[in-house]
Amino acid sequence: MKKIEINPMTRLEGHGKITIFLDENGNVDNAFLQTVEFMGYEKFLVGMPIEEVPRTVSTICGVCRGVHFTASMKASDGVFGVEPTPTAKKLRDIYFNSHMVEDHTAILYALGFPDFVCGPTAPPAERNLIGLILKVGADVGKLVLKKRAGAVKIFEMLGGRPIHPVAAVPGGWSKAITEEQRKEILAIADDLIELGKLTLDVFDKVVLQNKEYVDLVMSDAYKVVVNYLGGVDENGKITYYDPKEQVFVDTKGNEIARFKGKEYLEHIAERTLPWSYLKAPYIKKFGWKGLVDGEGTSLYSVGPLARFNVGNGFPTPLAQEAYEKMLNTFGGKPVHNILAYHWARAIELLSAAENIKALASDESITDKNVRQELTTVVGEGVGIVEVPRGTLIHHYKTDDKAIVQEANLIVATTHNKGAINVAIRKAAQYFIKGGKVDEGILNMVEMAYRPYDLCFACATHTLPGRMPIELNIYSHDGELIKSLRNYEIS
Amino acid sequence: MKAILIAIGNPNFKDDGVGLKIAEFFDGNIDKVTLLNIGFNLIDSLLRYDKALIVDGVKTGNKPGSIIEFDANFWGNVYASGTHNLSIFEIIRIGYSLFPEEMPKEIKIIGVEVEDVETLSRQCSPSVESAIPEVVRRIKEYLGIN
Repeated sequence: MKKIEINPMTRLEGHGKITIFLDENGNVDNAFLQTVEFMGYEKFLVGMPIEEVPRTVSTICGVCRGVHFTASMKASDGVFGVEPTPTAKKLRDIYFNSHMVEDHTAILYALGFPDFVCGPTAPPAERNLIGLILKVGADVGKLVLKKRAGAVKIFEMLGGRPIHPVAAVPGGWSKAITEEQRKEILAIADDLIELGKLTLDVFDKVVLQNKEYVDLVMSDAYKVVVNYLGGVDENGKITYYDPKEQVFVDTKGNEIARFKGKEYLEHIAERTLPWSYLKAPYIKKFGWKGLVDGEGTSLYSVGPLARFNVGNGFPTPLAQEAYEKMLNTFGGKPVHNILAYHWARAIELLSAAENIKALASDESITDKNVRQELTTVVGEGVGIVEVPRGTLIHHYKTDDKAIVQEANLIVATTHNKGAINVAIRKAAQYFIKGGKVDEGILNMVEMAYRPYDLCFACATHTLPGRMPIELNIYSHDGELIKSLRNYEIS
Repeated sequence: MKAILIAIGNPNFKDDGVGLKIAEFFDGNIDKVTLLNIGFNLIDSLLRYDKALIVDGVKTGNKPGSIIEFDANFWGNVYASGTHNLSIFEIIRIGYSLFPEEMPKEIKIIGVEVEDVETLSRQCSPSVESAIPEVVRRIKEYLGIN
């Protein structure tokens, strides 16, 4: 049996490895995504005052800084048994939506769109953001980055810093905003809405108007039939910062469960996988059915496509319009075509921008009452947010002085673990035939996990600063016969 | 000449925080930004400066504590198809492609070879810590700071 490995090469990037096993005919027998555990933050947090936790967990990942900050901040409310004041809630919501805009923009333009704009089998040296800029024009690239900077500005204005936000306090927000700041946010929101519209337009022109790409999106190579988990508001609409409930739907789109707070423990179980440090979550009541998709599977996905499948639309008009277009294109839900994650992500970018505008249009957000008084320590809190990559759960237990005794963090990449394995295996089986593997095929396989935007607790900034991937092909008797890598420093 | 120091690192992962520790020596001396990772925020930080110095931990296979200097033309064979973010060279190249007039004319990158970036700790390894004074000296020299 041949073995193909897609390996990371360096330490921080060394958090994921893809191994593909070929049979004697050179076709794919199986494929596995292996990951290491969640960087030990759960232990690091033990002994820390809960008020310090948001500032600390914001360092888990430079990209995802705002989301861990927010989930832990919500959990800290629970630890003190308080609800944030209405104004604090709105400020947190604006802050969180600005993170959504920034994150979705970066992922779409840097990692998602190049596959389509430059071509999925284009040489890697062309299939990147530079290649994308060359195709769509420097003016568009410049516009995207300038507008995206507006989201960072809101993030910094409210969070206190562009990188490590500091504004979280249990039951509130550290400072109120002025009327001038409200107006500034409102003006930026218009820019961000334009960014959202532009992004959907790029997706439309590049993907939807190209039959080859539409075929690829619809292809069985990129179809993973699983259940879905997402958060919704009181009207069943897609929401991010403070879902009323999390909802599971099955492979047919039927609701199978809903939960809030620590009830997640009743619905989500985790399976230890002998070949990976990361457990695979599954829907508890279905029981473990293995790393398989199709009707009856207990695997589930989270993230933009999952939210699309779970929610009954968006609360804002432009995003709702885009949602209906996507719904009509696929002829209903659930959509199991994973390349559609990119489409759903682009809609969410617009939705988050509209959310900012709606929230900042409320003049009452300049109210000075942004903190609740803390009187008791309840000792347990769960914060659940719908982050760019999917459902994020932070769960803490503390002593009577609010010092963390236990921490449990379930991140989106963990929820998606099973589905990603299925996705990689299916793409590999579809594209690798007779042992033939080249860089183009490697990318077609990579395209199967890119929609999920893997985040292996990604402090991946030590030079060279990205997740290099190496593909090793072994002969039947274990000899390395070919090695491909997507990164080289020389 | 308008100059900026950009330090990149995670303060909680031992040697990963070396860039941030170095930057602490320049409080009040120069415009300074600290970043947790490399993304478009690096371009945001570079725009409208004439000269930039980026300091970070590196892993190149050299002895821990070794100081390695790159210039921004050190592109290597870098391209994007990673899972979650981009390389520093790629980001700088994007900056020059989109904002040629606003990017610094000069960018230097100083890396300190790391030993341990897996352990959750706010202290660097002794070998890495010992490189800090020399890096500080080189930065001062490069940026003309007394």
